[in-house]
Amino acid sequence: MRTVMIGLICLLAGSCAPVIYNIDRQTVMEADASGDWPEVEKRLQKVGQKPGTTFYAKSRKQPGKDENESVLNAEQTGK
Amino acid sequence: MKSLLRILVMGSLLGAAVGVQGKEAASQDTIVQRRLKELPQLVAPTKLTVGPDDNFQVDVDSNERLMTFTRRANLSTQLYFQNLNEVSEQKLLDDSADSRSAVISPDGKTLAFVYYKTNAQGDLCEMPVGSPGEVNCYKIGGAVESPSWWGRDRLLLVRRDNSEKAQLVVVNRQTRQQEVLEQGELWQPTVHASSGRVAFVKQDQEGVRLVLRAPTGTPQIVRLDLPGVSGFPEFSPDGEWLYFSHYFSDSNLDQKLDASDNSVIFRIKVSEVQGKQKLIPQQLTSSNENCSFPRVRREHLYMTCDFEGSLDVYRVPATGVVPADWDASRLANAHQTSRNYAQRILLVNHQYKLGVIKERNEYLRRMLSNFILRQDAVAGRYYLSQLLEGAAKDAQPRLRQLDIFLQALAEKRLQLTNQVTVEFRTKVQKWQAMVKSQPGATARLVSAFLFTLIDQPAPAIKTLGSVRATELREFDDYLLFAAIERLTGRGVTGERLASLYSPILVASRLSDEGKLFYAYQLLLTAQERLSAKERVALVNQLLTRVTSDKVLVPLLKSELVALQLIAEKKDAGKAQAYRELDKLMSETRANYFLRRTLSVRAFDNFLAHDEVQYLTYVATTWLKYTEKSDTEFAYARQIYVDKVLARAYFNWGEKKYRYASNNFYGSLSLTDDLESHYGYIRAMQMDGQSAEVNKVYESLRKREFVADNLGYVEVLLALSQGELTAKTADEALKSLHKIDSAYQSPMYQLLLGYLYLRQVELGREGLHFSPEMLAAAHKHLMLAYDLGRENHRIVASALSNLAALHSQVGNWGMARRFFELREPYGFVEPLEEVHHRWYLARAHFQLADGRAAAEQMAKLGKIAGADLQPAVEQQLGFYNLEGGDYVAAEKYLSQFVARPNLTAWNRVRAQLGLAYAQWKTWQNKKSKSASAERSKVLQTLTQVLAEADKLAPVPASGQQRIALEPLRLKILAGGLKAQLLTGADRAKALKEVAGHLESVGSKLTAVAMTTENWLVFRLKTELQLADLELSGGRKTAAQNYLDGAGSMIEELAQSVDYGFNSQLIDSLVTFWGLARLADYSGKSHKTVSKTTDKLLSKLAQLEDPSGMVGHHVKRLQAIRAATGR
Repeated sequence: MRTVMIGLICLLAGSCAPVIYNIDRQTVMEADASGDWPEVEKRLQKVGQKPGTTFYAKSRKQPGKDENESVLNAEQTGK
Repeated sequence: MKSLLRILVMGSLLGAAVGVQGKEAASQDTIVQRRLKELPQLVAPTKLTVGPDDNFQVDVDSNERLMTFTRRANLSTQLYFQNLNEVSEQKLLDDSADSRSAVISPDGKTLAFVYYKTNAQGDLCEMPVGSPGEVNCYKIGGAVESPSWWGRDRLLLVRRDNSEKAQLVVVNRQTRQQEVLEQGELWQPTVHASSGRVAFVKQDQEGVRLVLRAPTGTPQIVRLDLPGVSGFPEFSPDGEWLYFSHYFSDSNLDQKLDASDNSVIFRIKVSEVQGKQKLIPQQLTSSNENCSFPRVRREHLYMTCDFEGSLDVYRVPATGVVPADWDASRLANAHQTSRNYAQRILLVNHQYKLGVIKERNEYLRRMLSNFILRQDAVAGRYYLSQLLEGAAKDAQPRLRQLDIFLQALAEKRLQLTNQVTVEFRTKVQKWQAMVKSQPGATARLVSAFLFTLIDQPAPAIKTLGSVRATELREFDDYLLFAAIERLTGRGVTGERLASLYSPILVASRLSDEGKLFYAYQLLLTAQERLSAKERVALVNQLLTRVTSDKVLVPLLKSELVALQLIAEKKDAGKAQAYRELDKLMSETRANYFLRRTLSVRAFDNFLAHDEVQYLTYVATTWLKYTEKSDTEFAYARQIYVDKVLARAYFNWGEKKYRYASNNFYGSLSLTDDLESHYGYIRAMQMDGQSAEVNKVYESLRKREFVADNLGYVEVLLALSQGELTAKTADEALKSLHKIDSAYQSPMYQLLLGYLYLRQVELGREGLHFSPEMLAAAHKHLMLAYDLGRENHRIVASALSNLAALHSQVGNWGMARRFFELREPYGFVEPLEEVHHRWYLARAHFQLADGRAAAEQMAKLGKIAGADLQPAVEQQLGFYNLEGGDYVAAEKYLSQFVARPNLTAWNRVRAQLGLAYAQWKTWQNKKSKSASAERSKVLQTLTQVLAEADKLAPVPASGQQRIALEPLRLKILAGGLKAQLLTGADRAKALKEVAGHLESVGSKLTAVAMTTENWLVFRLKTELQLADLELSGGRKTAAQNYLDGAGSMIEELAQSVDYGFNSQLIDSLVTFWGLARLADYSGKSHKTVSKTTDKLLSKLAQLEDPSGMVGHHVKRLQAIRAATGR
């Protein structure tokens, strides 16, 4: 009876199905023959995740290229 | 080494996306926000969807609550809907078929759409909103396009048979009867239900045009006084207006106005469409924004635009981007302060529609001017032709000469290279002949321009030299400038340049605006091409030419002062120079064009020499001299903020955190923008002033300088308090989602995206992660990327996060794409670059590009500190192994395994890689006889096998993506070892591998092995053992192995469902070959016979266009025939 109940719950919830992952050749190859550097990766992950701006000291703007700072030519009005 | 396991698919990660709300500020406003809203400025479109996939074909219900759109991703189109007042976006149907063009019924309950489930041409289908199970389709007979609702009971659409001819069809939903309204080459119909008017696009002998069809009378062609082609008509809800998109300008400069150009949305009054009169419609969007497919509702105009990297849905007020309450004076103000010619074209249109520009001729001249200045010859020629039609006879020759200039400009654009072709030269000579004989400066200027097009600078310069300032007439200054621009850099510099510019600098007919523009261009060219000394000489020379000009003299003097400031080495000298500049700015502040040009030149000069302090001073002065009621104020304010932030970041770079915090504070107190808040908090933290931050914000809050954004600040402060956990990230996200008003801020989206990214990381368990968190992170980061596209500091962070996100979940193609987009921005700290190259290398490796991975790792090795070198060495060895450079792999891996203090797993795996590299290096040598090399490989493998025994399995959890299992190493090392041995040693090694494979059978998932691959591995081992026994003349022993192989073959055949599988066929071929040699008729003979028969019969049913199946079938049949079964 208990088994039937569990089966029923699984059927209704749809959540007892096993999660299946296919693992690709590269991932397995990495596991077989590469290395694990958890401390290095932990340090690096922090650096690569940014809550705000990257603090570049210099502007990338070029003289004459910023539209806000543009100078336009005059229109001809025929007057 | 080549693993037999296969294919991970992480699933469709971005399918279940969290939606995007397009929220304009709705909550309590701060003083700053109130001030910002009060600033007169053009409306910026609000983004409602987000890339990287294209989102288009929007429809919105009449209450503007529900939006539906089509998304194109992976070559498939799918329908989505989104509640505009909530954060939700859902796919409407499953992925099994394409769908598109959804329209919401007038009562908002039903969707009609084109569905490709059972018909490749598309069916017209409908379903209740949110009920994908209740799809109901019509039999239309032909391809279905562009459905739209005609009240509740009818649908209007285009039906197309195999020819290009189409029919405009009305479908009755009750009776399902179809009525044909129109036939021909037509597209994109729309209907206004209560008036019964229909509009559509039709092609006839005169071209592609809009047609308006009333319930009675003949259909009217909508004649428009516009260059280009119209499409996508749409009635306003009250039926008074007809909106449409129009390919208006040649934005891609291919000299054609077609669907590849930027589209603009216009509207005309339906009541004005009558007779053959041409109408000038009202322009609603700028051609810079490329918007199309209008959907108009009571409040807003919804549209699809493409100016931020992907097609997305945006909205603006139903009256367009120019505020509806702008009067003549405000339009003139906005026109004066425009930042680009596309903006001016939009505003000139509004000035005409409002009656500010009364004469059509003046309107045409202004439009022609702006199109020439945009270098859009195609649209320019349209307006020129209109001017010509009404021009007096004596004015026509000059206009025709101008037309030759535009034709030549267009033709030059079509040339694929800078080389002058014979054909092009002939055309130019023909045009030369047309203008040469004509009198006047215009003809000579066009002639000079034509010389520049065929690389003849000398006659061009000579001709230009003959032009006097007093001769210049309308448009001549453009021609002169166009010719000078083409000559610049071709030996024309310094004094010659000044002399060529001279007529347009001293011409009395030119306005201040025009003269300042040319002087600005000359100074900019000088900055790009001359030394400081030469520039001073040039400016002094110009001053002698324009002695009494009231705008050019101050501009040139200010240029000299700026050059002096830059040249000064001492602060006091710089300050003295700046005081002179400040005096000039003060004296000339009343002249808008001079103020703007003078300030921009100062920016250009100071920016190039990192004079950030003086950049800020000039920006402050600009802002100070600009009235808040002026449309210039929004630009001046943005420029000020930009310069203050530039100074803040500069000070940060110098590690002057106190100064940086002051700069950020100065900016945030003026703008309340999140970038300033973020910079301020970071700078205060770096300056050791964290404790002060709370007090400062309390004061700002009390003075109403900050309200909603305080939530953002609080989240930032919370994040700086220790390690982030899933719980704190969740709380931070809840707080952030309450700040509706910040939705359009890229900094807000960046922080949201960052928090979701951290949630993905914190929630990851091996290969498992939350697809919902991934989708949310991706969305918010893409929004940050799109909204912050002008700000490289935000873009760089958004791209870093996107790359990190997709690396986290093994979405390697996306990860590589974002890393590659990120790279050109450069890195602030070495560790940032280390992160970038480390994970980019992994992405390359995962995408099977070992060489690129090794290249990245080699670059990383040059910047990484000593502590990272062991990791770099090991990764270099590994990636070179994948890249096929076995010599390099052997070098790095042997260095690595010689290092002390390595973890056992890292050492053993590196040894396995080393053995493989050694083996391949040996194999690749021309002489393979060296037994020393073989012994070296065997020795390394023996070490691997011995050390693998001591390893403990590592389960997959947290950041460990898949489990580490010593047995896998033993199988791989054992298999490799067996290949190096012969005779009894080989048999022993193979038996050991067979034993390991046997024991791994009960935990295949744990060792990431599929049943199919496990069986193949076992079969190969078993058949190799049989072969070995046969080679030794031991038939009975070989027969025993064949006995064992039978059941494995049967299992393998079942696991691949007797499909085409080369491993299975190879195994059968080998089995039958060995069976023949071993005279085998044992217990597996019958089983394998049955399996072979069943397989052959299945294979016979397969389609085999390449002949591959047939080839293998023949192999199998031949070997069976040879066994004499």
